[in-house]
Amino acid sequence: MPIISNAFFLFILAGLLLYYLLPRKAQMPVLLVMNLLFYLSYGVRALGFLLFSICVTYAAGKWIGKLQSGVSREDRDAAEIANRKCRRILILAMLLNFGVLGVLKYTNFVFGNLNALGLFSLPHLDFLLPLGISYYTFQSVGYLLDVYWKRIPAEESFLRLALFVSFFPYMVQGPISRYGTLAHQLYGPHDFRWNHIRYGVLRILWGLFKKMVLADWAAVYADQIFARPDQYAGIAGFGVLLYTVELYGNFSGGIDIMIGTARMFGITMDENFKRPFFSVSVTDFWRRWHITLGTWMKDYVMYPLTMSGAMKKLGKKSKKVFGKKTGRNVPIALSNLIVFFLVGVWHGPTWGNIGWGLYNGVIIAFSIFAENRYRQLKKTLHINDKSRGWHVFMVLRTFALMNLSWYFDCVDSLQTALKMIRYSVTQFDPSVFLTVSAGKQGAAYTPVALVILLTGCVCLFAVSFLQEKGVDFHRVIARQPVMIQVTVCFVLLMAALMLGPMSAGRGFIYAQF
Amino acid sequence: MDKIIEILEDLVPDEEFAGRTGLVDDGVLQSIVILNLISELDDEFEIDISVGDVVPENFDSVEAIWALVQKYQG
Repeated sequence: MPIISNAFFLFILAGLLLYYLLPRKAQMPVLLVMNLLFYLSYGVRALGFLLFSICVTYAAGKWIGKLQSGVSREDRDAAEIANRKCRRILILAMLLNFGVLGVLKYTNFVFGNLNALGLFSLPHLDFLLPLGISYYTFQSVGYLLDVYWKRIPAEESFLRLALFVSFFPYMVQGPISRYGTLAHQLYGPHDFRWNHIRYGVLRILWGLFKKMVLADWAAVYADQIFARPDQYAGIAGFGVLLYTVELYGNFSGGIDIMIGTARMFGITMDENFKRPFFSVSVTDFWRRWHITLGTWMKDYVMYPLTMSGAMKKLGKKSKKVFGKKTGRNVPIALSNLIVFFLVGVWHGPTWGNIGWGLYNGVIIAFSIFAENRYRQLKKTLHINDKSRGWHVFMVLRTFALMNLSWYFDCVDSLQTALKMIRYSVTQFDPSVFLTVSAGKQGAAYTPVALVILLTGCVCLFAVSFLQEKGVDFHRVIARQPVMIQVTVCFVLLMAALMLGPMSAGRGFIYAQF
Repeated sequence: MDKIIEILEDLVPDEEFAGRTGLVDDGVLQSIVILNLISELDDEFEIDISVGDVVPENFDSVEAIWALVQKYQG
């Protein structure tokens, strides 16, 4: 069931009616049935993998919780034995969860690389990649680690845990939620609130506009420019900018639709974007882009890795060799590189993605070591880093660094990416745009399409700029008369339905991760 | 607590820490600073902070950080 379809919106409408009209104790079963139906709409076979993950996570969490609660803190020997058992259960459950993800998603990548070395001749295997497998695997493992670290109690009810792991709004492309913030909302009764419905409708319509107008038009042009770089050399630089619009509109638009959907059921999901193109550094960018993956990696990989025994030893040695300030950053920088390697791997089993992840990791690692010198340099050069001019410069610098990384993300070879970069710097001829086809509407429609795209981008920038200044659009609209609220919704809906390209949309880039 | 303020001021110059809350929520203490802070606290107070305790609530104010240190010293 595609999330931009009449079937999905009817599904949501029917779900909302049952959710609020039936007795409140039926709300949790309604959500469970909705999860099941949504998942089944993508095929029966994938359900087995989801059920496997739910069963493993439930059993391991409950077992760890039982072992932890059965030991008093005073009895240190018993606590140590219980802790060792808990660790073994945790590792086993993580291996089972990540094992399924690893086999289904990465086997062919490993086989391909082994074959390339000339050592083997392994076949390409057609694995099923269940919807949302990396999202629910990460959410499940996060839950298990939180139970192991005693941050949350283990869930006693199988159905409640099943609801947390299978919650349909995050299955397509996240956001990856935490048990501590999401679960109680799923189980608690919710009264009908007009405010939630209005927020949800506005958020869904804004998401549809971003996806169906901005992302889909940008995709029409970016795809052609990157597919034929020599033909469109004069607009190669625009190609990567269009890819940025496509990626952001596609991913954040889909997230808006799902966060809006969840809010109509009275459930607030974690935000996944916070105006990433206003970031002042690559580190800042990763606090604003795909936030829930970033915080997952920070809490469940970066912290444990840096605080592990081996990294602590490395830190002590480094302090002796490089001095206190630089030395203590060595394990942090190394963990950061490992984290971004994993972020690259998560984005897909290709060397391009791994290189892209490491590109981000290296920039951040460099900034960790350079921070003190950078601060001194600013003082020496009398740079006022609180000034607006400096802020704008930093935003543009970060935007350029991220765009540079996407050259490698949107083409299939390193050579093509380098060629595109070269064309971007050496060739500039916007009139080439007029020769690019607007999909089914042909090249003659391109001027209109570009005006739509540019106007949409200006709207998105204006909204983001005001949000950055603290404006809460939902509150502003909620204070207006009903007629104005309806008009805003109508305009967004019409824009989404009528201004997008006629050719079929690309779907969601971050789906099936 | 003075020692903790001293460490924090060394890690994040130009910030006021005494009596302040919301250090994590406001973005003053970000992941790299928190890891540096843990390394300094471990060395200074001869403790070994567990990763399970690395949650925003334990780092959101000087008082919260001091309470965390005392938990390990106790």
